[in-house]
Amino acid sequence: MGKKKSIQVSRTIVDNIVRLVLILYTLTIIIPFTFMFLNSLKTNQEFFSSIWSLPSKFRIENYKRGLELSNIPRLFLNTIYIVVFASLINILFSSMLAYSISRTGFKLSNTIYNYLLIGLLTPGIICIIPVFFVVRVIGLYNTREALILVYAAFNMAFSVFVMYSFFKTLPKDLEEAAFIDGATYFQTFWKVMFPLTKPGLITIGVFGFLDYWNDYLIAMTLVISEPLKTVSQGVMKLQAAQNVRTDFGPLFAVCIIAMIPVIVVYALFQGKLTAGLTAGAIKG
Amino acid sequence: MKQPRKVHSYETMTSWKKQRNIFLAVTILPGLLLYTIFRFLPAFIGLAISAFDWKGVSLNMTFVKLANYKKLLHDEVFFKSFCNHMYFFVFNTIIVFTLAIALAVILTNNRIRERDFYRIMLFFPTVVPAVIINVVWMSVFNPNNGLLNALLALFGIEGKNWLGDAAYVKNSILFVMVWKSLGFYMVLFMAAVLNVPTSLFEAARIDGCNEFVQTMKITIPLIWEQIRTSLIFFVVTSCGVGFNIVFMMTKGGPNLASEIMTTYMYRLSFGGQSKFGYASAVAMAILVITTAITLILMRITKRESYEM
Repeated sequence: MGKKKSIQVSRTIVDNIVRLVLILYTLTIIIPFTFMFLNSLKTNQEFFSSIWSLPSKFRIENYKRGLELSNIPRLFLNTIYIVVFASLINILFSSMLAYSISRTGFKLSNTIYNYLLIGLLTPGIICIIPVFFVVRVIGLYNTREALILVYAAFNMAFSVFVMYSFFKTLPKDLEEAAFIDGATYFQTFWKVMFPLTKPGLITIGVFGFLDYWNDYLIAMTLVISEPLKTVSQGVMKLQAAQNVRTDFGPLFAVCIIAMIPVIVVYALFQGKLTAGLTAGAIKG
Repeated sequence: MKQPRKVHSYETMTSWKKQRNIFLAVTILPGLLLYTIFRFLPAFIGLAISAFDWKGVSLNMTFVKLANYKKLLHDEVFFKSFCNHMYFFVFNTIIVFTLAIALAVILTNNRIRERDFYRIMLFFPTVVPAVIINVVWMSVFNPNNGLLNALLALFGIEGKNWLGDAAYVKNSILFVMVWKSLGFYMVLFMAAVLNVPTSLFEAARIDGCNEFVQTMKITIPLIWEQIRTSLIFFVVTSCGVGFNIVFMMTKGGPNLASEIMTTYMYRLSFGGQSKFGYASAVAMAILVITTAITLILMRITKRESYEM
């Protein structure tokens, strides 16, 4: 009995050490964001007098100034337009493609699968110069539509793989029953199979959303006109300007605003996000 | 997919075939075309561009054959950026995978009740836009009014110029890279560990194995395939993550101390130097190096797989 007790005591000690480490690490995530939020409410004097001071009252001046300086509504509209259409194209094209190569017994299925695998095994960033070239050749340089197409294409391989493994898990009888009832291929896909893939669609939709909303590299390479720029570009530009002015309040305020959509999506889907991913591509 | 059973006559058979072909074309071609034009072909177009001198302004190019690659072999900046790249890559991979596996094992034992809290918090940096991560950490690392130096001052430790001093910049950036990726891989491995049947652990416990032995002998071998796939995924994606962090936080500075191959490529092309041909040669080098790493890792991590 004594031995068992001592094992239990040492276990609680180990558990609490683990807990302490985890809490300290979690603080490296909580504190910087809290710090940013608190500073978005402070005046510049308050910010520079003491770093530990709390904002004296709930102020929204920085938010107003941030809006004036960075034209946030315009940036948001551009980004939403790009994200919505890139998502629609990516979700529709990738689920159709995944369906046809996973469930129709099409002869070239494996070839197409391996062809897409190349896109998953090479870093997208090495394609940035040729993508710039292609977009210029087809005349879409400096348009939001270029971003829509490039985003949808860059995420295509990943989305197809998630949907592919998802379709593979559905029972075969579903389609057979639909065919016996006289449904065409299109009806079977659209009315029977597509609605069943909701969890897979959520996974690729949310990961796509995060990718497009968070991208900076492709946007800064392909879009250069102010009225067409995305939220990320706006934040970077404001950061450069506010660094010179040493006035960080409005910058932090804009960052808080830019994070809202991401936080909402994460809060809504965090459980499904990881579940869908592990059921899908990574487990392979 | 089987042909429908009620179809008998030759005529209906051919109309089914026709319908099937149309269906396959309509569903496969759009996605495949988009992927080919903007993701697959560019790799080859990049190879072609690397044989030219291209200023990027007009579409005029001068053919220079292998000149860009010859230049690359004697480019000290490229060599330096390659070494930095490898430094980040090696330590980032080792730290992220060791910690992610360890945390996944710890958090899936049922004794830490608040595990969902850690899971949700640690995954959060994965979803935050890169530009905001940059703003957050630049303000933490700021030498004059940054949070980190203020915190160190409380303990009487002298503040450092975390991003401006060549002695610290690499590890400051390495920290942000790990911080950004750790939660994602931890969550992946947590799901994998939860799939391991608990009966195996019970048997081991009866045989007197402690938790460390159980982890090394049961958990890790059983989730090895997931670890392998994630490793390959990590090699490919860390290229982009690394670019974002270095490009935004230091632009490769100070004095090239944190320059990596991807930021060098960008600096050569869009970053003002307008040597798009030479930058494409750098891109091809990145592709070759990443592929080599992937193949080597696939080979050395190959183990017998165990069925659960």
